[in-house]
Amino acid sequence: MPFHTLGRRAALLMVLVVCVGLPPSPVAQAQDRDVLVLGRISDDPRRHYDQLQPLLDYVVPRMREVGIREGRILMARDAQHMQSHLRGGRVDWVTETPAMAVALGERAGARPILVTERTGVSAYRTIFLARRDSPVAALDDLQGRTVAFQSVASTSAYTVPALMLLEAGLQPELLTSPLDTPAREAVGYVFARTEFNIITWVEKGIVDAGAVSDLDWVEHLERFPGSADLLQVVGESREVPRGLELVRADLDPAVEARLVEVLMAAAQDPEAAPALRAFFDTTRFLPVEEGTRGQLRWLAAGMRRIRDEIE
Amino acid sequence: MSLRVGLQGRFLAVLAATIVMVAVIVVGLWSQQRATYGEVETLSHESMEALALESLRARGRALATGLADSLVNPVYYFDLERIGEMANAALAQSDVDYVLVFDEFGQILHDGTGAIGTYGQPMSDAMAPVAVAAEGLIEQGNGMTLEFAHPVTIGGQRLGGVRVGFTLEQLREQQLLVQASLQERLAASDRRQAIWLFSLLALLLVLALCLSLLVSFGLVRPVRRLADAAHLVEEGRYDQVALDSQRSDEIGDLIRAFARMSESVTRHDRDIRRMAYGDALTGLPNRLALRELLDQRILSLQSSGGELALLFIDLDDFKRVNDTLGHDAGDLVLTRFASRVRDAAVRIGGGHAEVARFGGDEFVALLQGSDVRTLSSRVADAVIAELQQPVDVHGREVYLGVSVGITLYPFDASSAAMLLKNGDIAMYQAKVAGKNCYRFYSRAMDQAVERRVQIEHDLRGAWERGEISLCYQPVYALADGRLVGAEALLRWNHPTLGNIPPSVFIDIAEQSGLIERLGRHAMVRACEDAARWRRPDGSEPPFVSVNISARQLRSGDLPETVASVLQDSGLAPERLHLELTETAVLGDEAQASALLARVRSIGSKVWLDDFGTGFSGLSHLRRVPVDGVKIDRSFIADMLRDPDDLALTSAIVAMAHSLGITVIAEGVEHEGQYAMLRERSCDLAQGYWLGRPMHGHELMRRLSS
Repeated sequence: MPFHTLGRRAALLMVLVVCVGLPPSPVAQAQDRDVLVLGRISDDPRRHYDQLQPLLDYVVPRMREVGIREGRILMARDAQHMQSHLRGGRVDWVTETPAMAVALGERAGARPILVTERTGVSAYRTIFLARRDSPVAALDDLQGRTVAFQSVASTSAYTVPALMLLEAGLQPELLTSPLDTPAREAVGYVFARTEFNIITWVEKGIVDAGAVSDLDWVEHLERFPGSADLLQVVGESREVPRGLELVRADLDPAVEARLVEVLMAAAQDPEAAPALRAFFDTTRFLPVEEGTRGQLRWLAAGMRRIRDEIE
Repeated sequence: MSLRVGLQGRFLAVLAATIVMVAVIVVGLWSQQRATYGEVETLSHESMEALALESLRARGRALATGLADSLVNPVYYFDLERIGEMANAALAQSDVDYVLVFDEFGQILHDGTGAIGTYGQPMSDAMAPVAVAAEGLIEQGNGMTLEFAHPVTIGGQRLGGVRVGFTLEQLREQQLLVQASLQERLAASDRRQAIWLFSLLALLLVLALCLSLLVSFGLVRPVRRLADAAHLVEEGRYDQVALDSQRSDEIGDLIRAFARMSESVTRHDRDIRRMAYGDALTGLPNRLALRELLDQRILSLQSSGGELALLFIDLDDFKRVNDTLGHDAGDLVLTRFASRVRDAAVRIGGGHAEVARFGGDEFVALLQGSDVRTLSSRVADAVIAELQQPVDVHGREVYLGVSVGITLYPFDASSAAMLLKNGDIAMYQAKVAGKNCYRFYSRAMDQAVERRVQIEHDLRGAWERGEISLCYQPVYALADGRLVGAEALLRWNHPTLGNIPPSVFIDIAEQSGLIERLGRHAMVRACEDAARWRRPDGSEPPFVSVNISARQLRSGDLPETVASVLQDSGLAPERLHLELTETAVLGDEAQASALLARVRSIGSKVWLDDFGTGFSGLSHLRRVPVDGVKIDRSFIADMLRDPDDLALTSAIVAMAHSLGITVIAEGVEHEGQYAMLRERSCDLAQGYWLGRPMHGHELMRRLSS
């Protein structure tokens, strides 16, 4: 665990810096009042760094009035690490998917401050796809059949569709292989790792249905228009926010307010355009409306149910 | 005709042979090089093919093995996207034609395409069964494609397999590309080699050209110049030899040495020419030079069509000068006359006139002009006039006449020899015509000469054939009219020409030398005839007089001959009279005197014939022992009309008598002459009036009557 090692060293360094006055390390200074730390759960820090840095560079100079002098990025390997960072105050600001936002909120107290609109879309739905020539025409038809999800980390291709199956009164059952057969009363599900695999498995008849976001489906159709003739949508979820900006629970309200102010104004600022584009094709930041909060609450409840009934 | 191969030709031949040889070597090297290139190409093609194939196989094995290994998890999890990524990564290699991932039943899981169009289909191609059944890495091909297949297994259980097909087309294309590049480079190298080799050859050619020029200018040309110069020297055209060289090498030395040699030869030739072609005495060109000059003139006239006159000039009686005044005086006279002849010829004949000494006293003048006949007449007149002026020799004035024969080219003859002959003939005619005059050659002269030659030919043996006989002209004593003797005269009765007068054939006999034999025969016959002569009264019979020619006198044995003839015939010596002409005696006065004295000692008498016509005069009579003189008929003929002749005749008689010499007159044809001679106390006389020449028997009858 290299990051752990780094963390310990950093902690040690912090002590050294306080005592001896050596140059501070990024982690050590995360709690400094004049540093804004942007966090991200990432298994590819190198790639994500370049996506985060431009926006941070845009935001930090605009937050001088609230005492921010410097911006830093801190990556976390998984949700547990990020929760730890948030709880420890080492990360001030995180951008995440709705399911992760719910998880971080419940476990680390992180608060959503903005909805992130990407490529002009601020919300999506999860859809179930099945072959047009298969007997599956609705979610109810899935009993005794197999569904392909992406992975447990996916909101759109696991959390939401699993919740939909539960809400439809079906009993999802995890299968190790798509070739396995589920119990008669259950709905077997397998993880296909990618949206492409999900759709392909459905197309090739390996599974009976697959769940993807409507955004992924559109994207897939751009590459493989022929899929539209083969597949049809047999189920659709309610809307889920595309992305969320969170801050730690104990962030200085002035800093939080200024951050919200700056990010919301960024869409109108031409200078911010390159930074926003790099920031996962973000087009603008929207305030967290009540509808969104409702969706998040539904999602949170669903996740609890999944944890209880499936996992 | 054989072609002459010169120095340069041989050199060029050797050079050409060398160049051809080098060219052959160069071309040989070049083709060898090309062959080597061909082999290199083939070898490299083969090794490249082997190498490329081996490399492909190694890569294919690695790729198939690697893919089979990496595909275990994706296949296990049915992760088509992952499988697709891997297949795509493999397909990204340009020579990978296809990647097929199949399941344990041999159905296609993934073909690398996005839509996986063949998903789930069994593989039906020819190589599929082997690939599906493969337990480990296998390799198979069909000429177009090389396939590597490897099973995908997990824990000894077969999940499926992967097939990777490599197109050999690209390998071949690459190989062709490399081959083309190699060929191009080899061709470039070949071109470079060729350029280098052929440049070398060209350089050699240029070198050969330079060498050839060097040889041509430095060796062959000077040698040719020398050869040309030598040819000029050979032809005698020394003035055209122009040799000079600034070169300091051996050729230069040779040219200069040759030039010096040429000059030396020129000098020597000039000297020799002067000696060969010049007359030492007069300084005029000699006969040889004349012949050449004449040939040249005729040659040039043949082309230009001009005229030429040849004057054959002969000094009359020059021999007398030599005989009387000595050869030194003769030479002096010749020199003087030669210069006069030349002066006259050049003065009138102009620049083209040439005078040469042809013989002892013979000169030849060549004249050219538009009217050579007139010109030559004038020159001849001038020469005759000039020579009539006396020449002073040691205080004595010498008079000489000259006879000139003129012949004209191209009218009379066309060759030098004929011209000279014609000139000679014409000159002779001038002499015959009385000397001191000139005659143009004519055909008639030729005939005269021919006749003369005929006569000379016929004269030989005429005596033996009995054609020539003796007749006798009686000689009378003027005092008593008694027949006292007879002059033996030759008569020639030619079988075709009839009687030929002695004046004609004696002269010919004299000149041809026949006279010696003829004279001897005549003497013998005359003595025999005279020995038979008798007078009725028994008194002494008449004498017989025989003409002796100058040749007979000069032969030196006259006294012996006379003695032998007298002895043979039994004739009394005093009855034989020998008549000699003045000129015969004058030939060599001392010898003649001695001979005549011996003849007289035998008892025979000696007479001088034709006395008075010569120039010597009576003073000679003192030195020459003669018994009598015969006054020339020309004196007698005019004696009655010309007082001078009469006086001369009287003077001769008187003087002869004073010397105790008998005088005889010939040509007495009238009684008046006879009377006059008797009156002047001339002793003897003969002539037509007294008696014509007659046969011996007639004379005997006259004696007896």
